[in-house]
Amino acid sequence: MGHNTLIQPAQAKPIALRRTERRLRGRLLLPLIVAGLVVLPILNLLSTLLSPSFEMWQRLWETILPRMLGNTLLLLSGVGALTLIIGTGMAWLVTAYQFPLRALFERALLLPLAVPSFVMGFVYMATFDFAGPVQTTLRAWFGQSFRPPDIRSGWGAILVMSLVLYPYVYLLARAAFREQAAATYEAARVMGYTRMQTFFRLIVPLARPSLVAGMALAMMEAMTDFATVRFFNFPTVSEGIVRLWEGRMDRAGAIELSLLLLGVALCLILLERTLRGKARYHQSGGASKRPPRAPLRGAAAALAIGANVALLGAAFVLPVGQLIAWALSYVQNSSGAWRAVFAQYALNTFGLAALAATVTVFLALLIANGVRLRGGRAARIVARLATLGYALPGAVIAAGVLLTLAPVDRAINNIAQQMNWSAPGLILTGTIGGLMYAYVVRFISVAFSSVEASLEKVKPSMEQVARTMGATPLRVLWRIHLPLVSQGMVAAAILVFVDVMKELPATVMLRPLGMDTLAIWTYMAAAESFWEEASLPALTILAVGLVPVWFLMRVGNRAEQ
Amino acid sequence: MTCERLIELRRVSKAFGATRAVDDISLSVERGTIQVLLGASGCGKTTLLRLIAGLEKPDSGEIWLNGERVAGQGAWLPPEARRIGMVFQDYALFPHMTVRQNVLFGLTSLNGKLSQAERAQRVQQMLDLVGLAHRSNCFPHQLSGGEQQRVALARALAPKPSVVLLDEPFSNLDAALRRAMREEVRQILRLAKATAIFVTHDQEEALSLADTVVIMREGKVEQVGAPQEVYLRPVNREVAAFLGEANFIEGVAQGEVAQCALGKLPLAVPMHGKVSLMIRPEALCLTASQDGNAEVVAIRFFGHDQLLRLRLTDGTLLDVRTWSNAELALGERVAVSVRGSVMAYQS
Repeated sequence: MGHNTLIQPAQAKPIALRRTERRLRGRLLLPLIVAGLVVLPILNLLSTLLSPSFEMWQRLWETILPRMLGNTLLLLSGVGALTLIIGTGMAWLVTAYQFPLRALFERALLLPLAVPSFVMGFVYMATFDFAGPVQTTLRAWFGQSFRPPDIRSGWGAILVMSLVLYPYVYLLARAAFREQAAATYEAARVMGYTRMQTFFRLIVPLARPSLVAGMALAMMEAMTDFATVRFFNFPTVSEGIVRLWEGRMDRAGAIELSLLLLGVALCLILLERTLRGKARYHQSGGASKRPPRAPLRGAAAALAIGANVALLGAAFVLPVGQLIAWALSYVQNSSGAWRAVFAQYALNTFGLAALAATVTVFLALLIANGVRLRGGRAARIVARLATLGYALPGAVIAAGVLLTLAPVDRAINNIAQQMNWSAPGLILTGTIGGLMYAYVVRFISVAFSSVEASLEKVKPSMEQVARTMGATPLRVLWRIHLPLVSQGMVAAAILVFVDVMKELPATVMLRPLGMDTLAIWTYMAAAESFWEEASLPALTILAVGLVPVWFLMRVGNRAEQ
Repeated sequence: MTCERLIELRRVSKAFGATRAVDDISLSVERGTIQVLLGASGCGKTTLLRLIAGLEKPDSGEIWLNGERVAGQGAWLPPEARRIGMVFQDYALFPHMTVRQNVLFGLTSLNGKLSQAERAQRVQQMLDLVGLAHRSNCFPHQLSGGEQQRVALARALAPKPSVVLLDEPFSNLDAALRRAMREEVRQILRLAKATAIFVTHDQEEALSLADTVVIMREGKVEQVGAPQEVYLRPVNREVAAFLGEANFIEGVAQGEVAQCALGKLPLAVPMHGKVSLMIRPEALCLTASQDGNAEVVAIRFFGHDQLLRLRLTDGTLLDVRTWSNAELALGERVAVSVRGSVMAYQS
């Protein structure tokens, strides 16, 4: 106001103020850039739509495309339907009924989550194929002309994948069933509905959002797979992309196909959103007690146990038992040269997975924090875009990453040439840089949801109260945020680590020479029918995959108490 | 420097979009007093508190704390430098720290100023003050609502802040506990000789806690005064109605007195002309009388007292609060008289 205010000592402060504001804006800008980089490969892929290559499409359409597309849709609907039935049914069985060993089964039903579908695929193929022990035995009993349906087919692939993917539906269905208030259920019973009628008329419709979400997750996993369908001679679009890419080095063709698969993936996302609808039913009274379990006796109990034993036997005990048997035989019969190979591949795998987990969790934290600070619709859209990757098949992401990074590599080499430096080579696409990029795009949503959930534990009032008590922003971050968020970060890192270990298509397409992982070893050996050799890396992946499953079991257990 | 005015706000405004949450407010808080900001939700009281804490920046105006300008005219002192204690509605206890660590948190920020032993002693002192020494190794989720509240208070008081700000601190407690905690918190603040500013929308809470009540409406201060003053001499009809039950009857003021359906009543503040007279239900006296000027038309019985609705001969309805008795029945005629002087507002 007056001139005299200009000479007050407080005058020095606006500079500090401006600096704070600048820093704040910087904090919002960085997440935006990161999110943009995550979406970039997908956008790049979409932009190829602008210059379609009709010739290529015609060629594809006349040769492999119709069959691949048909197979993909068949696989997706088959896996969707089967996982929905198995997952929902088992979840209802263990939440609504009481029978011997129920608590044990309830947790054990999560175990198949640890088995990658391509591992399941080769074990089943080896076991049930023409030359496998089952058919050989059957032929010995029923004569040489005995021909059971061929497992190397679409239904074989659907069955095998559903056996390891049903836990997605099971997990979400069980959570939804548990949340449902006893009062809702009891109201229906009082109105004259039987337990079964209540299930179909009330319980399932109420749980629909969760069931659809679980089913969509299973279908996304099925869509990204290329190895299992290859074992079963059931080529899908994912398989086609990898085939064009590595077999004929036809990158342009692979990219066009990726675009098609991206379309399928986007349809799936849309379908999920539509089926889930606006239905986000919130149950009143979260703490309400769950309906009592109806005890099963006699034949019914035996049937329930039988169903669990059969499912677990087929989806976990059989593959794990077979793998262990093979691994033992392999270790005993081979020269021991496998040790060095195994050590190298394990080192590659753990190194890649650890690096990817660290980078991904860090970036997820950056975006989650930005979204939280910023709030608002724009930030939410950024977050959603950045986490789209999980719904996209690995092959599509790999193609997008290559499209994005190849021009950068070219530009770098051009500059080097003009400067008369020695050409640096493909420093992005030819190294683990490209692979890391693909991993981040694909798995950041896994890390994001975990990190975001733990950030929510830090209420704004906690930050504020800490500030009023004289804590600087840095100290607030260190003493309040970090301890509260660290659990979520560790969980996120474990999930990404395991996902990277299991990842196959993007790794196959983008790995630099010599960077073979345990998953690739498994796949290569299995493709050559070296079952015993494949069993060793497969078991390792499976064992590490059990870590998050074990956590999941404990969480479920705690919720129960 | 000792200055009686610990906090001073000079023409402070703060808008969020089109809403003027705090609209040109000037206010001062004296050292060692308990001031309560009272108003309906959305009146800007929480924003005012956050401005004082430094969690919001004023759009215009100045805020002075302890004789130092902390906001306005280019000055800005961040919250961590203001030496303010704050208790939030949700307590905002740190869930990963024990009670002791929570209380210690504010002390470790004063790096170097306190030795380890001094800090431990201060924590102990605070926990003794709020009566939670035996719970010092518990985590917040193991405590009851009232205990969490006391931890939050101990944590706010530990660094000897110049003022403690409490934002709806009792709203998460049930009614019975709320009354007990109110008294307890008042005692603790008195013992700690702390200056405190409460924010609440609960009139009873405000009147029973405060040395000074500040009544806010739509971003502005309507009245500042002692609880008795604001309750008995509200500056306008709105404040009168907000603070408690009130009857308004029409009358004509003639200086010290006013003529109305209840006869000639003494005025608290001299007025002239047509006025609305404000009479609190408990200021009315009833006696059963066949030729009384009113009839009982409704009775609501509460136990500790009862509320009667009367119809005067001219049709005016009046609410009267009396002690619990069964002597008056529906339809009975009564004589009404007024205790003390009444407030009049120009109508």
